[in-house]
Amino acid sequence: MKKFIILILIILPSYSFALTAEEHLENPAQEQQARDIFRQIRCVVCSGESINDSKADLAKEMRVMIRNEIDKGRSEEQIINELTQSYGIEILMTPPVIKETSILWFFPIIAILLGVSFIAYFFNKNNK
Amino acid sequence: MRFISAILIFVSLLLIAVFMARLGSPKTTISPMIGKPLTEFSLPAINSESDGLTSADLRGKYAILNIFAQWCITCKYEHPVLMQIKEKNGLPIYGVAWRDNLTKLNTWLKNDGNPYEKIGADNDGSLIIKLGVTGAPESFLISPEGIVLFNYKGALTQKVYEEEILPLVKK
Repeated sequence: MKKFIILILIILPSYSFALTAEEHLENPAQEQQARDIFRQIRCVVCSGESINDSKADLAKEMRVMIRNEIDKGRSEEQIINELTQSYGIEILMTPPVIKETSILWFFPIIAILLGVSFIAYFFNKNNK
Repeated sequence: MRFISAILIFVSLLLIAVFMARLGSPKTTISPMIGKPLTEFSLPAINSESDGLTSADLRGKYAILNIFAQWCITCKYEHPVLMQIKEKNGLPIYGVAWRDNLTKLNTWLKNDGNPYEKIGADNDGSLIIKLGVTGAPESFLISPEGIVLFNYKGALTQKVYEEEILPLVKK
């Protein structure tokens, strides 16, 4: 009996927590739309995580805000635009290819080309 | 061939330098909110004796909008600086209490002093997200026309107030 009471006391707090978790949208299509947006938005206080995966409070607040906006009938584009206006393109998990992000996209390609050129040059030199 | 090799090394080093400079550039920390109108908002009061805070409260004068919370240790470190600004009749400071325990917040302000003209409670973080805030404390300088002129992430210091905020205020 004592073990049973201890078990109940252990389970009870996690059950209470589940009751206060974030509310999902009733409409499954809207909830799916919200989750699609969550995966595109970077958690601004985490490293390399989307708000879909983050447990940070700010990420949670963003998920609540996005669900509220979808519930009001705002489109995915409108919501993402609004977040980009506030946080900049850094908030996007995949930054668009624009002038400001060009170095981010093209530096690895240039670095690989240079690396290959180096290897080819020294390989040829050693073979001579 | 040595010439080609030297060019390749030079171009590589140049690219690495540009990349590192871009990473460390202060431009990367400039808030996208600067130069934009302050979003319209209306926040509830933190107690029954005071009013809430609306965007209209900040119009017609230069004002500081300070994001803070009682649970935030850095905000407690910043608090004496805000009190000093108030005591020296500096710019009016308006507070946004972020996701706060209002009972503890009121006790703290009663004990340590209240540097704010008005405080609004952003209980769900909706204003915080519209302002692009990533953490508390964070401050914005708002022009009389309601334009965001300056954003500072972290505890405001007397040096930042005097050297970065005040020069933006037109007399």
